[in-house]
Amino acid sequence: MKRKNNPLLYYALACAMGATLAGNAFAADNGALQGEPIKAVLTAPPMVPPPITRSAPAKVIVDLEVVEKEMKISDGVTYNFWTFGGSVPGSFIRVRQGDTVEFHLKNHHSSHMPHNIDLHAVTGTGGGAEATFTLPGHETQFTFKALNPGLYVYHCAMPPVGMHIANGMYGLILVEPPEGLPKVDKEFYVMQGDFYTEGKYGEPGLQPFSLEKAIDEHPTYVVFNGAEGSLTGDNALQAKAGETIRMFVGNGGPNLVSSFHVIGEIFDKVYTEGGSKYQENVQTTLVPAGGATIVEFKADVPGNFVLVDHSIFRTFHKGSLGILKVDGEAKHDIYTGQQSSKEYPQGEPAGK
Amino acid sequence: MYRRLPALLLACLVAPAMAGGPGYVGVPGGSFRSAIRYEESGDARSVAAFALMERAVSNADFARFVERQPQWRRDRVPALFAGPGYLGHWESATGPGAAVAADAPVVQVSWYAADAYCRAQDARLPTFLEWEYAAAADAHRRDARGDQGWQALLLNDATARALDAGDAPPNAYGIHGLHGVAWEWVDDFATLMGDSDKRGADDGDKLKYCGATALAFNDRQHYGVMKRFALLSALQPVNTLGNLGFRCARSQP
Amino acid sequence: MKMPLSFLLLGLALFQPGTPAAAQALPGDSLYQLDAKVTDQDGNAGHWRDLRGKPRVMSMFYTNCHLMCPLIIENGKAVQKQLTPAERARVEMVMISLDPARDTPQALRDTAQRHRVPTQWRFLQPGVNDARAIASVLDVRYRPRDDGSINHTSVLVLVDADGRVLARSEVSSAIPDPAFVAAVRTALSASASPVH
Repeated sequence: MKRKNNPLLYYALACAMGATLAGNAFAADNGALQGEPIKAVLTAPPMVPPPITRSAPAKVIVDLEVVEKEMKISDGVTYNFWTFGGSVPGSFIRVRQGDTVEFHLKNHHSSHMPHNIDLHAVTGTGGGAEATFTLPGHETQFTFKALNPGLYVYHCAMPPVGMHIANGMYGLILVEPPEGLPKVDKEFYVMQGDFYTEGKYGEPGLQPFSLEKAIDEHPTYVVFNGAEGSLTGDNALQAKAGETIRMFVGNGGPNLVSSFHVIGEIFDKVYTEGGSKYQENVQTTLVPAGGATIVEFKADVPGNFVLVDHSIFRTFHKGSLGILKVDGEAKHDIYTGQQSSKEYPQGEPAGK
Repeated sequence: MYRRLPALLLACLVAPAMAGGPGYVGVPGGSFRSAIRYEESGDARSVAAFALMERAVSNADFARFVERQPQWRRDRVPALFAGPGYLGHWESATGPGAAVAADAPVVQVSWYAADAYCRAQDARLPTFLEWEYAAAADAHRRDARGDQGWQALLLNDATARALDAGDAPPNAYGIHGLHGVAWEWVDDFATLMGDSDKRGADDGDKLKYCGATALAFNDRQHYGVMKRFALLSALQPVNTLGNLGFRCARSQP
Repeated sequence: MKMPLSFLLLGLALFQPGTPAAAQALPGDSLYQLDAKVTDQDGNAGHWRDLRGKPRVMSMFYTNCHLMCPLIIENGKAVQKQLTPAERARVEMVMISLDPARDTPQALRDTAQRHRVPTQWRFLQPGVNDARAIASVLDVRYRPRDDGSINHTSVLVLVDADGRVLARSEVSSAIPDPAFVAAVRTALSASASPVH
């Protein structure tokens, strides 16, 4: 049965499609809050809280505690980190656009000074910093509405701000668009940071912060998730061949921009700078200091895929290296590995 | 007359140390460029001579005070004058007990308690400027702040790794422990009016402090002072912290 | 021996709010535990704790202040305008000077007249060393400048009859904070029924 061509219908369809693809692809949800207040599930890196399944804004309660603690930064080397939730980067927070977030910031009794928080997802003075000035042993509270979807950095903004950030006080907050993100098999939380110590790279023991190196922007360590080795060996990220992977990648700085690349993989989608639009087929993407990106790809073949900052000397000499270990059956139609290696006869010498 | 000379000489030597009374050290006045940019002068401020306690007030000192003025016992002090953590590290309401070092700086004291202790001795808390002036000295120099290496050590003030933790030698004025394991109250902490978020400080709101904006910093590299300022300006007089103690000062006539 | 009811009633009738000797002990967080002297704009010398007995809205200022202090006064007046006449009679506005050396009772009276404040407002000159103590318990931050002016924060503090802080309002304009006005009305309805 033949259908009559209806140009008007095609035109209407094209307009409708064009309208959804151009400009804001997703309508914001500024509806009324529904349901009981929800206590946000926070995770330590590299884990990410589960995707949000509700379809209406809600009141979400976030409880985050600042803890100052000495932890390993490299083999034989420790550092006095100041952390949100006990980890560097700090706990991952996941909410939905339109949510009203009631934020509680605690500062552990053992902290030696006050801390606060500036979340880039907050529209309001200081991103929350002026409302969360928290002495040791105290708790402050403020509430904000998550107006914009996206992946945002949060960090401490207590003077001297550079020092607080340099000591590891940063993390990520994801504000999902109302219809959520497309489903993937694995989600990971990776955040790069540069660290400045009095001693040289590898010098053992507890290393103090070096203000001079921080001002000169000459880091001693550039690492993922607060330490060299945080994503290698037993700590490597794991996936199976065929799985779709999404990485929430942040850069706490304080100084360096990251040229994020996964050796042996191509990013099918990059939500540039953690925003709502994506680029496709990207090898290396820039992550600004105090910024983030979302990368998605399918782990087509098994192997060890290396997360790096492609400013390559810092990867091999300062520690910005992580591993994604993909298990599964080899797929020789996509990648064979080495097929042969042999001598070839010497012909005329080159240059004659 | 000649017999008096040695006595006179001795008196001259002893006088600075005894200035302000036993336990106090005389600090000569001078011109001083604070790390804080006060509105009056962009540069140097004049610090009048004063006397400062050689050491921070200890647990034993404070226990004696509480015995003489029992209204300052932790089980009797009104909530107005001390928060719930007041002297929480002591074994009992009357004393620190054996587990707490008697000569360690007393901590978990509110500003009201510190102020009352000093007033009971006809003394007062030092001002922030006096404190900063006395603390600019290292063991050999009265102003060691040009020394980057020394400045870097000040980042550990009020932690276990502080410069003056343990049995450190006195500074060039003869004062012990200014960069020790505890912050110290000052008289005018409430006047250190800074915005909690310093990133917008220079574009301040003139109405918030009635004609003035938040205090800013002269020298952004004095991170040790910035940390101290950030802490002190955040405090309420009723607060107590596990790493906040005090020492007293006396004005010189 | 049982005490006759008439004696008990007589005792109650004689009870004067604000008389320390006869009053119940002050609550632990009462501001009136502070030992400070004050003199009002009519020259009557008294004690800070004499303010006990009635809810009060307090602020600190100084007479030579021409920027925020007029706004504090206007804000205070605006709070009062939102109360019914009955409510207005039950809460007293108290303005305390940060500058007792220069803010004599006469200077305070002149300021009150200049700003046309209702006669019930109380203006207080603290004792020589008491301004800082009162500012501490009210959490008013201030710094005297070399030129005689004073940098200070501007707040209205609602205090109940026993001296407990019920609410605070940061003053940045002549428009009162609705939440603060609501707190004042709640405090007044609570104190309307006699407690003693």
